[in-house]
Formats: sequence, structure tokens, C-alpha cells
Amino acid sequence: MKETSSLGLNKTGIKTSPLLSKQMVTGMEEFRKMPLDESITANEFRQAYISESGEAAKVPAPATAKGAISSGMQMLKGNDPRILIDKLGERIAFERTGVRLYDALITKCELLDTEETVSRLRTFREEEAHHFEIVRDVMEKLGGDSTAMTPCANTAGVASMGLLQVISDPRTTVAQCVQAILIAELADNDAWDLLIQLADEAGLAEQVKQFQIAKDNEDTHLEFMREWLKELTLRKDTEAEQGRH
Amino acid sequence: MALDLFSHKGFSLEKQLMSWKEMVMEPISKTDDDAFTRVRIILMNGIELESIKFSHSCARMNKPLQRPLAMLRRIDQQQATTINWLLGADHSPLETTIAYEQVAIEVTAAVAQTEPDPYLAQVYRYGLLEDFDHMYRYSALMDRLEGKDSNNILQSYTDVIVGRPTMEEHRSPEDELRNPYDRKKAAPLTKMHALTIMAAEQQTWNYYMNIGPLFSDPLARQLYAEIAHIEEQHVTQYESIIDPEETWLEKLLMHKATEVYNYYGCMQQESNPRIKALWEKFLDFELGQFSTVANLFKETERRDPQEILPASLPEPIHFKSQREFVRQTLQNEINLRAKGPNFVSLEEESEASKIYRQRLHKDGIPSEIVALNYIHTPGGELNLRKNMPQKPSQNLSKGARL
Repeated sequence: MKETSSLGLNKTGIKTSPLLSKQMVTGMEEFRKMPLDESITANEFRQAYISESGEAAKVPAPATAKGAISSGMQMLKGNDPRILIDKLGERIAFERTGVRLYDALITKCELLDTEETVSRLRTFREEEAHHFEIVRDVMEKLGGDSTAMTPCANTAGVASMGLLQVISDPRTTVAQCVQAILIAELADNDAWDLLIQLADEAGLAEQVKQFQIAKDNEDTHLEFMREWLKELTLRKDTEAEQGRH
Repeated sequence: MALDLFSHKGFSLEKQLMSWKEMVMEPISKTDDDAFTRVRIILMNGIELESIKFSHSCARMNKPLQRPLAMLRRIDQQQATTINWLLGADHSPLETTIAYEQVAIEVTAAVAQTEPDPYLAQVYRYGLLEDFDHMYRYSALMDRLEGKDSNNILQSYTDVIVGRPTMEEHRSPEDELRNPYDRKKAAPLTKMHALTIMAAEQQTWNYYMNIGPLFSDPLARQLYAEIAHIEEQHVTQYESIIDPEETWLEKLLMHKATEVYNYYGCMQQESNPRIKALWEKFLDFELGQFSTVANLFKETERRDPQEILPASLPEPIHFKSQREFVRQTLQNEINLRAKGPNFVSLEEESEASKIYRQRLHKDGIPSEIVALNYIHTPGGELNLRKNMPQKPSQNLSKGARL
């Protein structure tokens, strides 16, 4: 396990095997063929599917067991609570996954990094868990179902799949994992801004205060990850640097 | 040096069970290991899975064999796990697809050149040009959907150009059935070739059917649907060349001999020492399994396994770029078509196949749409822009995505 990648024989580029690569690009012209069917382009094909497609998921209606609109929902300003419910669901999912991203990073860093760094990561992990709890409670107070996967929660999960794959791979370096966490924190940071505006428009003054505290935490996470990645990438004594001597 | 099948007893079955840690090894490096290491992994996974699939069918039809087969399958399943898990999760499904097609091209081309039966060599060359075209279609998808170059996986060993166009590969079922070899006359190498290629195609079928739905893009979903349908044809073709008159135990013995044969070839040619050690270990496992099945064969059929297998195995399949052979085959045979068990000219193709194809293609042809005017270029299609004097958008062929 390493902090940054080493130099070595990477075989993906054409310069690794010049002879084979020359053979590959030589004499190709005679094998090129005109397409047999030009009637539909990929754009037209995809646009037809987009036009014909339904929704992948719907926002779960915030209702009581008897089907009435919940009292929490009735307090909201504006007529359409769908977007707020969807976005609360997204934050619940994202913060919960965020905890797991930190868990994976901590597991790796316990082997390599200073106790100080690991301790900061543990703090961030707890803050992510706390953010999950805050949003969960808000969702429940409004009469929504905090255990449901809303449409934006679903797409946020799809979008995060690659991040988790990077961090949980035992072979990835700390720098690669920090890059992945940075992507998560950048998205998280903007998402909190948006959620605060949404809650504000809905007249949820008390919740806006709670969300603002979470956003302040997220600012710290983001700044820490940015600096850490810079440190791992720009410092002069990286293993890659040592490999050249 | 050829391997003697009957003088090595290998590991006894009881010693072959592995722990989870032994099965889940560190994966190969997608970027640093040789492409042929990945080719061997995909091939051997397919061969183990075919062994399991056959064994299940055999057990369903042969009560007295159920106990020994159940034990043999446990080991096969562990071997398949160990091998398949060597592919790291940094391989996207599409990257693994490219690797599967590389297996189909390079291994089938190698087999076609050493196959002693000229008719079967023709069958392999025929299938080869179809898999070759799949590589082109999937490469176009990978470049235009994900912005990735398939040559990162292929490492310049394999060309990415049009083969027998996928849209013309769809045939009526009767045009997919070939003549089988004769179990009494065919060379052992012929039998092992047939099982090897059938296993590889069967696993490609499984893989595409499993990962096709993982794509969100509808064009990718249709392309996998279309090519998986060809894989169904290919499995049909390759299983039809195997003599159906072979007994269950004869087939079982041939499966085990084929596994030994291929592990031996992998061990001989492997460049990664860690993986080479695995092939060596599994060769020992397989020799133990072969010995068990040879005993079952003797007890059940009252025949000597050496009636159907030579002591000394043939020269292994060569794992190397078969570019020249593939290009020659392309030049000479791209216009061949299959009609019943025979290969005929383009003009003589059966009406049944033409009608079959029309039905499938009536709403559009994904393999054509995805690769419309695609020219594979190292580093991706976007590299073609540097040779364009004006804005690329003014010089585009229809469908190109520059």
C-alpha cells in the first residue's frame, strides 16, 4: 500500500510496444468498409428513447397512514413539497454513503498516516453521521419517510458508485482515495447550499440553522481534502520522485 | 515438452479444497500485466464454468455419478472463483467485454491454425470473423460512450476493424448447425479444440447476458442484446461440432483432459510469476481430477481411457497476436456465409436466414448505429481531429463523434 503511485511498466499505451503498434496501424485502409446501414444515427436513436422513456423513480408522497397530507407538510410554504422531499432524501443517502467513504479511507490511512490525520478523518466521519441524523429527523418531522430512496437519492447513489470502488480497492493509493473523497465533498458542499435555500423558501427557519452548521462542517472537510491532495501531489519527496533516482 | 496425462497423479481431491483467502487473491493489474495474462484468465474461467455446466447436466441423467460429480464440481467452482476474481474491479464491464472479444479472436485464430480437421478449421475461421467484428462494434461503443480507447486493454496485439458485419451474422437456426467430428476417428486435439472454443463462447454468452442490463445507455443495451444473440448462435455452432454419440463418461473425461491441456498451456506461457504459480497449482489439481474421472470411466464403461486419449498431450494453444492470420482470413473469407452445415458464397445464402435477419432489424440495427463511420484510432477517435484542416464539425462523416 502506498501514498502515491510508482513508476513502472504500464502496458496500455502504444509506445510500450512500438513494433506491434506499428503493425496495428499499418495497412488498415484496405480493410475499411462503408457502413451497411446509415438510416439512423446514434443521436437519433438515443433521442427516440429519451422521448419515449418514463420516469425512473417517483418521490414518495409524504402522507399519514390514512392517506392524508401530513401536518408537517401542511406547514410548508409553497404548494409543491416534492423537490424538498426528494432533496432531503438525497442528503440522507449521500451523508450515509459519506460515512462509509470515510470508514474506508480511515481503514487505509490507519496503516500509513499520522494519528493526527486519522483523528481528523474520524471527526469528519462523525460529522457526516450527524448530518445524516439531522436530515433524517427533519424528513420525519415533515411526515416524509426517511427510509425511502427518493429519485435524487437513487441518482446520487449511482453517481457515487465509482468513488466507493476507488476507495475500497486495497491497491489504490491514499492520494487516489483523497481525490475521490474530494469529488464527494465538492458535490456535498454545493448540495448543502441548495438544500439551505430550499428549506429557507419553504419557511423552515429552525432547520435552516441546523443545515447551516452542517454546511460549515462541510466547508472544513472540503478545505482539508483540497489541502491534503495538494500536499500529496505537489510535495517533492513523493515515491514517484524517488523512483526516478 | 509435452505433458503425460497418465503418469502424473496430481493432487488428491481431498487436498484441493481452498480457503476463502486462497480463492480471493490480489487481482492482476489492468494496466501493467500483459493482455495475454487477462486472456488466459478469461479463457480458463470459461473452461471451468463449462466443466460445471456439463457436470450438472451429466448428474441429472446419471444417478450413480451424482456423488463423485458433486465433489468434482465443488473444486471446479472454487477454481472458477479463484480465476474469475483475478479480474480487478477497475475493469469496467465494457473493458472486460473488449478482453472477452480478444480471447475469442486470438484463441480461435490459434486453434484454427493447428486444427487437423480442415472442415473444423473452416468452422473456426468462420466464427473468428464474427467475433472480430464484435470487437469493432464494442470498441466504437467504448470510445463514443465512455471516451476510452479499447487498445488500452488490447495492448496493440489485436486489430480493431470491421469483420463480417454483425448485422449479417444473424442466421436462421438450421444455418447454425455444423457437422460433428466422428468420435472414433477424430484426433484428441480436435476434441479438445471444440470443447475449448465452445467453453469460451458459452462464457461470453453468460457474461453479455449478465452485464447487458448494467448499462444505462439504450444503445449499449441494444448492442449487448444483439451480440448476445450471436453468442447464442456461436454456442450452437460449436456444440454441434462435438459428436453427440460420445457417452456421458467419454464427454466427462474429455472435459477433464481439456482442462489439463489448457492449464498446461497457460502455465508454460504465463509471464506473471504469481499467476504462473496458480496455473501450476491448478494443473496439479486438474491431473488429480482427471485421474478420478479416468477411474470412473474404467469402472463404468470397462474401457481403457487411453482408447480415446493419448498419454502425451498435443502442443498447447499459442497465446500470441494472430494479426497476420486474421487479416488473411478477412481478405479471403469475409464474404462466406453459412447454409446448413456448409459454407457458401454471399449470393447463396439461405432465404430463411435473410428473413430471420429482417425480422430482427426492422426497428434499427444497434451494431450499425453504434459504429457508423467509426475509425479506431489509438488514444480515441478524437485523435482524428488533429489531421483535419478545418473545424472538425465541417468534415464529419455521418455518425462520427469528433
